[in-house]
Amino acid sequence: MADDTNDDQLTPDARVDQALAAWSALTPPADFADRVVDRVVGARGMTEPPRLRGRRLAGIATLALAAGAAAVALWPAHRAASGALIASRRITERLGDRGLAVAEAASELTWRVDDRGAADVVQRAGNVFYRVERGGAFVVHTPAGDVRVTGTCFRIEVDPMNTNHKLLLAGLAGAALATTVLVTVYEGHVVAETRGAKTELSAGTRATLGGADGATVVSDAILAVTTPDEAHATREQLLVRARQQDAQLAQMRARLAKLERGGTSGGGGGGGAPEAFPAEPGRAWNDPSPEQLTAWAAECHIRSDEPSLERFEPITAPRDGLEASEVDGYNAAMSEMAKQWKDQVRKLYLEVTGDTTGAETLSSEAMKHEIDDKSPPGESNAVLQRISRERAGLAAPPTDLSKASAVERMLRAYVQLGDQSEAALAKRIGPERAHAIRGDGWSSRMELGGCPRGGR
Amino acid sequence: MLGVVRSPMAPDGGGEVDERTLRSAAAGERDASRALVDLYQQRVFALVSRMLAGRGRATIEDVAQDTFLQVFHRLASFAPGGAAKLSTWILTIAARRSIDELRKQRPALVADLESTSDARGDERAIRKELVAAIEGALRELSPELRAAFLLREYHGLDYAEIARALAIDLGTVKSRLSRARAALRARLAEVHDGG
Repeated sequence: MADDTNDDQLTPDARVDQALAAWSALTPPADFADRVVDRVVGARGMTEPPRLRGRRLAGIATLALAAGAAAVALWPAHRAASGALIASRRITERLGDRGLAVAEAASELTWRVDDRGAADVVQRAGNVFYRVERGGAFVVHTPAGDVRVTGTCFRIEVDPMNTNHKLLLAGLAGAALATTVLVTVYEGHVVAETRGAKTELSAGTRATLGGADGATVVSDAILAVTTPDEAHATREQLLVRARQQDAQLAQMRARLAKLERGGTSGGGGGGGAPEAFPAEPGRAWNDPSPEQLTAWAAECHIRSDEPSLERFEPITAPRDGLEASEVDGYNAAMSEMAKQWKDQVRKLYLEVTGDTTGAETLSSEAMKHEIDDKSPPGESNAVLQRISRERAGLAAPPTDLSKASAVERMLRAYVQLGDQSEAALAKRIGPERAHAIRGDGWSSRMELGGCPRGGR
Repeated sequence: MLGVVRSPMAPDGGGEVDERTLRSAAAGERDASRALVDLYQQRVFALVSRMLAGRGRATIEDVAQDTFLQVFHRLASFAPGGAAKLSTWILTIAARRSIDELRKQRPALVADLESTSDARGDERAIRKELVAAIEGALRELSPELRAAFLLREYHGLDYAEIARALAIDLGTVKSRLSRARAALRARLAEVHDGG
């Protein structure tokens, strides 16, 4: 702590010690330990579910596809989830276990939720309502700044023309020249972070982020003038509007409850994870029927599994149906596959970005997202369309991928990881045992889908 | 009964959980898990908030929480009789998680040091100058060496522990930390002479 010592009398090292002592650290909030323990208990419930059919059945990440949406789910593991959507009409989408997004037409979202429930959402455009249950970090990145929440209801509008028009009405012509974002908070609070400044917004607040001067512009006054009707509304009119918003929220909650009820009824999955795409009766999850494959081809939909290679750590004792004598073989096979996959992703990342530093330091998950981000719009959907048709026998697989885009090579490599991992394990413990260990799907399962816009 | 073995010599007033609590926490018992977080959370916050100075409280809390989630995820693999104390092991995870966060190169937020200080007037101004000097000196270090400096100065880890925790060569740790402290001395001299 800083004290009353005369600084002139201090030796240089004593000054260092004084400075070190003066540097206060943050202290944990009172409920920090409870929050952590709640998360740990919750996570254990997810990652160590009751065994079904004697094998590991980790959570399943699924993406419910709405007709009319161009959507691709990418890279979930356990109950992690990630994906992207470009809405051609209103779409309700689950963002992991805690989040729900209602995206209006023309909204563009990508999201990634890790296996601990922390969510990173990128909203590039459009008008999206979010409902987020309490838990860990949930951040929505927008062109004008980030919105960070722990549990709340809020809406974000990223629509440059519309927002600029509102700002011009507000007399903020300077701000109107830059990308701006409108945030409306219905419940709880959010923290808006933009260009080094952060502002807490509470329920009932509407605020703009960004602006040409880079400052955060957040106030109820701006709301009042940006929406002339509200600026002149009477108290009664405001109360009516509040009741309407309450009713909307009630509808959202009912819709969320319905989604949750509907999502838990699927069979074939493990750990109680919602499963929008259960196994067909009498078939393994990873063995869809020809009829199913044909139906999925029309939706540009494919199913894939892999043994959570990105999180692979050697095991020291038999589990997941393995015998003790098979542990070493399993570790060798999965180590080989994990390295092979990371090398593939790194090579593609370098090809797309030329970023050698990133290739050495980024996780393969981050590199995959970069590769996907840098692909032309709709490319991932076009690849899914081709693969789904090939799986249904409606098109022949390509014989030469050398001229295929990076994202196509990445997706094709990814959806083969399940079979390749089984083959690698088969070399060590025999094909029958490897097939048995894989069972009806490796621990990380995913549904990928969404046709290119207008390309069904 | 959950117990804590206190070590009065610990530089940050810490101590370690006993082995039984550790085993219970690893087995998923709520009370033991809570006891473990209670005991180590101050140290984790101390390290993470200094590593991520200027990143904002929300980020610091996220990283601290993430640290504990990783701790519990890997707790069964921790060997109580091994080379590392549990606190060192946890701080290693916190340091690595903070380094990852620093590498994201997100724009820095307004630091909320004011909220953590109960100092007044002139003392606050002096404190801010001192803290600015430390932060300036640390900004010139790589994330790994920043972690090394903080682990050494605030958490009492020895050079070998730091080298092991951060996978840095022992000689590098010694020489760089010595230089970091020299840089800090120089900055503080500037503050003093300029003031």
